[in-house]
Amino acid sequence: MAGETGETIRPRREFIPWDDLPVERETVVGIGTVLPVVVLYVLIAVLPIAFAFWASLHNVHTLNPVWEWAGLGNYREVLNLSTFRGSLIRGIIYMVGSTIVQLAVGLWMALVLNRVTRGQKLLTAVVFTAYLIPTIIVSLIALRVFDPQGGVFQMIGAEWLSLWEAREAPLGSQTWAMPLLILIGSWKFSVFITIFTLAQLRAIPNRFYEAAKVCGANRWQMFRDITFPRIMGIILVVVLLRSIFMFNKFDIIWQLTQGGPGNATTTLPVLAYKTVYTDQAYGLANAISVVMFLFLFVAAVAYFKLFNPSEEVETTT
Amino acid sequence: MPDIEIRNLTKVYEESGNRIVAVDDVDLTIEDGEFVTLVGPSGCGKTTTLRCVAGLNKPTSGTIKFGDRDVTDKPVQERNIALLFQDIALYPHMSVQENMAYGLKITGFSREERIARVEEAAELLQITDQLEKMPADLSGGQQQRVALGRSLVRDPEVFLFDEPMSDLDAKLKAELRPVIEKVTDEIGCPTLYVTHDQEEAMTMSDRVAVINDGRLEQVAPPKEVYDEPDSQFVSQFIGQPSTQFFDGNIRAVNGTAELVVGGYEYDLAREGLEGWAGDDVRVGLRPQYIRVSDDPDAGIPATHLLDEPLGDATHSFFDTEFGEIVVVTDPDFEGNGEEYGLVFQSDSIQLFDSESGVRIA
Amino acid sequence: MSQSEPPGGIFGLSYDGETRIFETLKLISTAIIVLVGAWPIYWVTQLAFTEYETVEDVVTVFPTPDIFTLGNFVVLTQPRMYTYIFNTVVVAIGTIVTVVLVSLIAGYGLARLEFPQKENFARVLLIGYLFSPIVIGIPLYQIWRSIGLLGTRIGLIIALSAISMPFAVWLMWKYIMTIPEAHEEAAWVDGASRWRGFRDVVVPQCRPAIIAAALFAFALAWNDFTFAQILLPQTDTTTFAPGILRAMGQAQFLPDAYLMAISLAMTLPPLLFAYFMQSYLLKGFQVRAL
Repeated sequence: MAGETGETIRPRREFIPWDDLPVERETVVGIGTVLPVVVLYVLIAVLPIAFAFWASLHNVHTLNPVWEWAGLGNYREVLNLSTFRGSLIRGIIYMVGSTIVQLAVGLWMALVLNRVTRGQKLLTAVVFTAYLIPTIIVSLIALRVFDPQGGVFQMIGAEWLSLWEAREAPLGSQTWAMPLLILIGSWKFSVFITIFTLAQLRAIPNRFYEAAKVCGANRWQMFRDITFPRIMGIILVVVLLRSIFMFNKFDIIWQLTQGGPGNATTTLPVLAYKTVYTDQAYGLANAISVVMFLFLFVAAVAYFKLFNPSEEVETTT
Repeated sequence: MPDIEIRNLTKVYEESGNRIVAVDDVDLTIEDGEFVTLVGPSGCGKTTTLRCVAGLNKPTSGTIKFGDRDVTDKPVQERNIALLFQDIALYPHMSVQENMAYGLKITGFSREERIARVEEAAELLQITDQLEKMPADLSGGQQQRVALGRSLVRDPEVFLFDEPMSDLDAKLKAELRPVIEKVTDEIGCPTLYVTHDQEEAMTMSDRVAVINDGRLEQVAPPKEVYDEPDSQFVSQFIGQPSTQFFDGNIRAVNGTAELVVGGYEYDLAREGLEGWAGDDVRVGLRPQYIRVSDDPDAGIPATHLLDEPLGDATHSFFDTEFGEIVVVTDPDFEGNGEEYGLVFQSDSIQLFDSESGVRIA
Repeated sequence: MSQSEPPGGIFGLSYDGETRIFETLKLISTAIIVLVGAWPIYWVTQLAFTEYETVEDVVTVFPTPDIFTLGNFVVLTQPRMYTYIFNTVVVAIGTIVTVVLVSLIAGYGLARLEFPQKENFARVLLIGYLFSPIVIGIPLYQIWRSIGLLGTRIGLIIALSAISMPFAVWLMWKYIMTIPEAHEEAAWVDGASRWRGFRDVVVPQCRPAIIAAALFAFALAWNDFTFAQILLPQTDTTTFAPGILRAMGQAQFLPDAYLMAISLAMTLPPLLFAYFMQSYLLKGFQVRAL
């Protein structure tokens, strides 16, 4: 912009000859603005998906990239793998259990936060902290408090409630590992539902409730007739998103149990990871990945059926 | 300073297969130093016209010239215009001082010069003590002054207003009108002022351009637009309360043309009516020129509906065979729902073609 | 519920009774939320200040003077931990910068410019919510290896930025749409180019959205375990989350109290952000960013 003022008789020669291009300048600039996003998506989604599919048709050793054509052999192997079936079932248990707990807790927190009058700032901060705190730290704390040596929850569970043996690590027990994984994860991830529901709750104008009160509605009726219909849509969306996220959850499971004891908490993501690094079967792992992609794809279709983004696109504010 | 010359300006929007003609072949010249108001109902194309002149919209066809300079394809940045927006559009993150100096900063003026110019403008607008404030801390009227100042410091070639006062209350409007006139006089460039408020149009302009459905209906000084409207639309749109309309018929009697409205004959004694003999016409009459007679047989029979006393006059509503009619009556007139006769002041009657609405006489 | 006499509150209570019960429930709920939400943070803190022998041995609830120590924080001076934290900070900053720049520009384009396939772009954008680090990480491992990005912080930043996109771009887009277009047009009238108008008028007004997007990107990067575990496989160049987990697996002196001390250090930044920037966060989420 550092041109001389005054001399504006001839327009400065543009670096790009806009007038000679077959498309509008706005089109070029507009596509240019979203190009970085497209590049990122290609690098991080399109390329890996294509690559995974290609690799899944080969037998590949993780550390020795010699590709040997295997056709659909990996897929046959995946479907016959006993651990695959078990992991899929455990994954679904983990997904459904987590989603239900998180929905209940998240919704409850949102409703409370929406009506809290005092200490709102502190309360919101506490809730957001759970969202911002790294998973690894949640895991470290969980490992500490369930540690047979001096863990406080271990003590409460064993000595006060007699749920397990005093010397037994609950995260290493066949019975307790899965429910605890679900509960620990929910401490952090319920907040996701709270945040989105809360935003929707705050958007309900107060005059609706005032009108209902004038009509003599009680609190339950107000919730049923005003609040619930308004948050129904967002609940569907977050439940779907949470289900997908929990189905794909790897970090917290790996940190807490590494899929153990035995295979008691091995879900599909954990199985895929183990196949790469423990079994060194990179091609097979990619086959598992592709199968998971298919699940995601089905979820994506459902996602767009439920929540039509073009509606959002059209609203101006 | 140059004039603004708009020639055959047409703007067509294509929206999902529908062609919407927003501006239809508009011709308008605004002389240097002249204040022209473009007035019309909402959606008539007046803002689109202004945005084409500003360079914010690209015309479908036609040319726009500032003096000898054809600016039709020039981007807004190269037109050297000033524009007051409907929502004022002060930059909310800059102080009043920075708001007014922003244009100068871009043009490359030195800091001292910017401050000097802003202070000079602020003095004229009486906002010197507001310079350090943020726009959000100002009242609507003050924000409007700042927006004027932003334009004033830049000394533009052309001054454009896009309904700048539509969000203000009536009292503030009246207070700001002289300020706007002072600023435009000070700059002395051609001014195009868009509004839907015919009062603004009448009070501030050198000439008023009435636009309807994308077409210019009439361009003339305010008084002329009021007294001698070119069309039924102009007559109805300009003036408050608006012109009342009746259905009439022209009859040839003894070689002269006579107007018949609801069984009453009016000898208009005007030129050029002979050719219309036997035709239906629309008859327009300003409410001030209708007299209410206590005798229902003295004029068009009318049943009194209600009175709106305004203090200096009363607007009285009557039900007639032509629909509801408003008449300006005495301040102490009280109709009490009785029967009256409406008498026309025949030399103020305006006649329009009943099909096209074009003025006949 | 049994009778519908003069309209009454829930369970046939009077409206006042209903309100009292509601207020009580609300109070109890608030207490539970604060307790359950804040408890882990308290626990980390108190354990971090307790002598490590005690932590391994018995359950304590408060670091009384006889077991109080600052010694656990010595873990922060270990060169390896220092590297992990440094890498995490670099990756977080890199991700924040990338996400804010890319999403601001894309959001502006979506809000203000007309171009073909805009709506389809929005749809594709939302698919980003389905990108799962584990599913993408496995193929990405080989791709990054073949183009030399494996084990580099840039490779991780690219991956993390990509999965931040749906939220950040959507947020910027919706936020810029709330800024009146006339502000920019006023700048153009003043002679500013499109870029200058964007820089001088749009960007300063986007501050809340920029902060919300930056916080979100920060949370994602600070939180990430899976991508770093796969894409930064070298134990001595990885980030905090995989690094600390691997350090725990190796036989060496790393008592739980040390882990709590370093956890506390890593929790502090998000904790401070959550408290001081929550108004921006809420604002960000309220623009219906999804």
